[in-house]
Amino acid sequence: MIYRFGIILLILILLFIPVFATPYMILLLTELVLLSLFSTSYNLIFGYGGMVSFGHAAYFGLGAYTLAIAVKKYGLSPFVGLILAPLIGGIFALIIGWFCVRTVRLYFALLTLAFSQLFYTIVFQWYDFTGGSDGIHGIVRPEVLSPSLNFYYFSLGIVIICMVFLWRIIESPFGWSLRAIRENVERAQFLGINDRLYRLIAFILSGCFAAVAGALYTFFQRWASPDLLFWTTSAEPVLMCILGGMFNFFGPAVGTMLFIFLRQVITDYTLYWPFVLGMILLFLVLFIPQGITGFVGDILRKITKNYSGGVKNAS
Amino acid sequence: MKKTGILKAIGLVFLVSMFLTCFSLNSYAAEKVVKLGMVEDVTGMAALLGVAGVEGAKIAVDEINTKGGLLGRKIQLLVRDAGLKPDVGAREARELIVREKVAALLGPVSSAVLLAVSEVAKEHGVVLIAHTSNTERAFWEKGHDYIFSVVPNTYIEGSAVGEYMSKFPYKRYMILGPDYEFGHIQAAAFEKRIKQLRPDVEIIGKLWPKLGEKDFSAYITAILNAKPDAVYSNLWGGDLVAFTKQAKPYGLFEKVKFIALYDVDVLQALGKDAVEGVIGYERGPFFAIRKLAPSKRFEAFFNRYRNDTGKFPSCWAIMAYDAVWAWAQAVSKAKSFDSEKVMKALKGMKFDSLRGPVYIHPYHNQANVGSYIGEVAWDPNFPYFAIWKDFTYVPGDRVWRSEEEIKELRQKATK
Amino acid sequence: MTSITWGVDTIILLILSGLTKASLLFIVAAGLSLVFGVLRIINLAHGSFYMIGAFIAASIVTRNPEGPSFWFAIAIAPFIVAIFGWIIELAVLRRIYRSEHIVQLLATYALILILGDVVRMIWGAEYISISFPQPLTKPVSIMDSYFPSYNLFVIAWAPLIALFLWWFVYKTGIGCLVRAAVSDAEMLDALGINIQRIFSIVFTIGAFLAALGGIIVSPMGSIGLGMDLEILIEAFVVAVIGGLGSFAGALLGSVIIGLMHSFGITIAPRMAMAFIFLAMVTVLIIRPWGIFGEKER
Repeated sequence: MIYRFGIILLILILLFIPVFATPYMILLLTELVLLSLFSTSYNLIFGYGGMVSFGHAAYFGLGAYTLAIAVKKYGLSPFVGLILAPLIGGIFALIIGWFCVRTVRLYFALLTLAFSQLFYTIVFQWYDFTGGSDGIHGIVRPEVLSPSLNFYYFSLGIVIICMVFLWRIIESPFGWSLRAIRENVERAQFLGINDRLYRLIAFILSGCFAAVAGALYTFFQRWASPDLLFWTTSAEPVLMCILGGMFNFFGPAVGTMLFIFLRQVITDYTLYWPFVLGMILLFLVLFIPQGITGFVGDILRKITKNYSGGVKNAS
Repeated sequence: MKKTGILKAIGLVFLVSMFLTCFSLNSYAAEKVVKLGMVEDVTGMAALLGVAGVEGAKIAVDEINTKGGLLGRKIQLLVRDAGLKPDVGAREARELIVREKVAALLGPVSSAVLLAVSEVAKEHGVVLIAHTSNTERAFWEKGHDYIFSVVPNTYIEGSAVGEYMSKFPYKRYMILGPDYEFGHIQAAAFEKRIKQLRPDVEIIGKLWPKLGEKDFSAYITAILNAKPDAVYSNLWGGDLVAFTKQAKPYGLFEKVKFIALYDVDVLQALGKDAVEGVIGYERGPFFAIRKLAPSKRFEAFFNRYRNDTGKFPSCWAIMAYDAVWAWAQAVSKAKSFDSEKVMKALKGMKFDSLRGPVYIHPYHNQANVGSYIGEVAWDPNFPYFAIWKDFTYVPGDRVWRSEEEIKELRQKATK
Repeated sequence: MTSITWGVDTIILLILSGLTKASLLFIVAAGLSLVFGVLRIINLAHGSFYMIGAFIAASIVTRNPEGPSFWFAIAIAPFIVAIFGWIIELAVLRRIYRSEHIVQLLATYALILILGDVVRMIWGAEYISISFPQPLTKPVSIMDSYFPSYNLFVIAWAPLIALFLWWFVYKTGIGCLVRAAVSDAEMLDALGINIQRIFSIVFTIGAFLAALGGIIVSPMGSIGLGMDLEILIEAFVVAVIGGLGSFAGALLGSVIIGLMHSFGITIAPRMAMAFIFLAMVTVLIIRPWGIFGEKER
């Protein structure tokens, strides 16, 4: 009940914050909601499915290029591109996932990495279709979405819809089966769950939502470039999930927020952002592996526990 | 379960508010200072170019400030790293424009980053001056009113070398370039120009090693096997250093005439391994500028740069310096920092660059800066690295595309 | 695209070129593979050790470019990096042996970021170049063509390293424990053997090999930032194709990639990289544990 209240409050904040925000903040918030969708989509397979993919950039990039190519090569409306993106992302996720779900653990990570690098190389080299290393530029937003405030609301709307879908998926029987597979494959199989099929479906859904995020990103930036598919981009959602906590629906979004916040503060002072990021990351994985949401939760729980004289915690 | 829900919700709201307050506090505007933004690639494999650019720009800004600033206000240079990533470059550019309210932007090293930053500059109507990245697409078909260039673009460079080489009797050429747009597009300009001037020239092969290739032996073998008269290459930086060192023992440079971007950085890195007789081209080698366009201003810059950094100024430093001064002159001319007015002042403006007097084309905003071309040779004044001899300068307006051509390209691009 | 006359000497030269690349890849990939085989960690920072090795060698050589300073560098720089690797193992890796794969990947990814910037702080952004060492400056003639003698020197390293690793793993006492650790580290631990020490030794050897690769490549190319990611991806492909944890696999993988590269760029220049990843994907689909690897339990 109160949890729900918190979410509503959060949505209200996101809706009304532009009233107080500086123009720059609106841009950052747009990036925040887009990347939150990217990292939450990743968490569907990572946190809930227990599949460590190291190639999620492929779907983000595919979504981005779907919109860019639809607009610049075929003269379609960007909204059509936005609808096509999850379809294309889903189709490729189906093909890639079909091979990947057969492998487990580390080999899964390696295979997803190999596929995403293959896509990267193709996009990088296929000049006539993808614009090669320069990418595709000059995607003009329609008049209505041209002001950054309007575009913020537009993307917020789409991201909220996608998040609701993701939430429904995660809380559905399917989502719980996925968790069961993550915890114990044999037991899940014994219960009659087709683990490969379930994992494949999760993989496809995750790819679809990542493609939506990618398409929105291109819509926002007005271009797509092969860097969006490079393996270092794949590291970002992993990082955000770990930063925010992967066993919580909002963990990745919180991680994204922290990531953007830290990057902002640190790049203001130093050109050694990779160094600082590396240090933070190292500290995090060594000392707070459960992520920030888990960490804050733990601390708050300890405080309230002391205050209320050691109430037994249900979770 | 419920309890943790409450706590998580509180935690979440707490985090959001922390995030938001930090940004609201951060935006303030200092009155007296005018900010000049620089989105530069100072990490990754092209870091050397970016770092030199920052040094050059710093010197120019410092000179302006010691002279009392511009229109009575001091200039503050804000440098952001794009790390060769277009998304980072675009974001940093947006931040500089929207939050820091910079009066103008100086461009990055990577062409892909330039194209991304250019979109941002166009969107916000802020002047962007490119001084290192030079893909012609950014200025021709994707050009717009706000993007300017004080670096010879790929079309100018490729055509200039094509023109220079047409004097030689070589007929069978090969192309060797890094496998990304810069390499392909510049080689295409070379090919077009040399075939125009010398219809008997034949391109017998093209090789595209990937950027950052360490082992060139397969490419060297392929070149030796094809037996061309000359090789036009736009490998640059570390790749060119590696290629030169590896090709030398094969005797490649005795068998074919080799033309490549032997700039001051590469020659310094090569040191004793430099090959005499190969042809170099670049945007502003100090030894050529001193001969072809000697000036007190250049000497002052040269000494200052040597003093500040302990290094010889590369063309990257020189062009960044020129970019700052071009902007400053336009501001004085427009008597305003307003981007719209500065943009109009820059168009068609004549200014004194370190490379001599140049002008900016009123339609496509490219300065008529050109290419320096010469033969690599040792000079007794520079015992540690080779420089060039017999150099010439091919000005940009001799070889660039006509206004009509560019109009046509732009029309095709928007279709 | 390029007109090629397929003479015997062309083919020999292409094979030698391919083997040069293969040898460089093997030295680096063998370390990656060894570390994975024993520690079950994919060390993303492997490329960083390679880069640091090259930079240290460059510092030694540029201090005194004349004379045999390159040989001096090759003799001591790998040890410096190995000690450094050992410290990293103590400080970071040791804490994450029991963690999830993803935590291990992220920790070593963090090391890439940190070490890359540390190199930038110490050596700056310049690309440094060092000359071919005496007496390997002259080419050797092969039929009608020339081939650099330094490349032959590079090719010679691969069998040397392979032999050393074979000796180490099969003929020494520690090697015996390493083999035991590969097949069942927990059992070894239960037997009261100090498994941490074996892990340290293996990781240190891994860092040593990476640095050695970086030093051997340094006279050929230029030394600069970005070397780390460049080699990492390629070494990765090699190790995965051959089978993570297998030396024979790394050897075969590097020869495959080396030859694919040298013939690939001659036949279809723009496709070479795509082919390499396609090979990786194919191997992972058909035999995820690689050609010579063993199926994970």
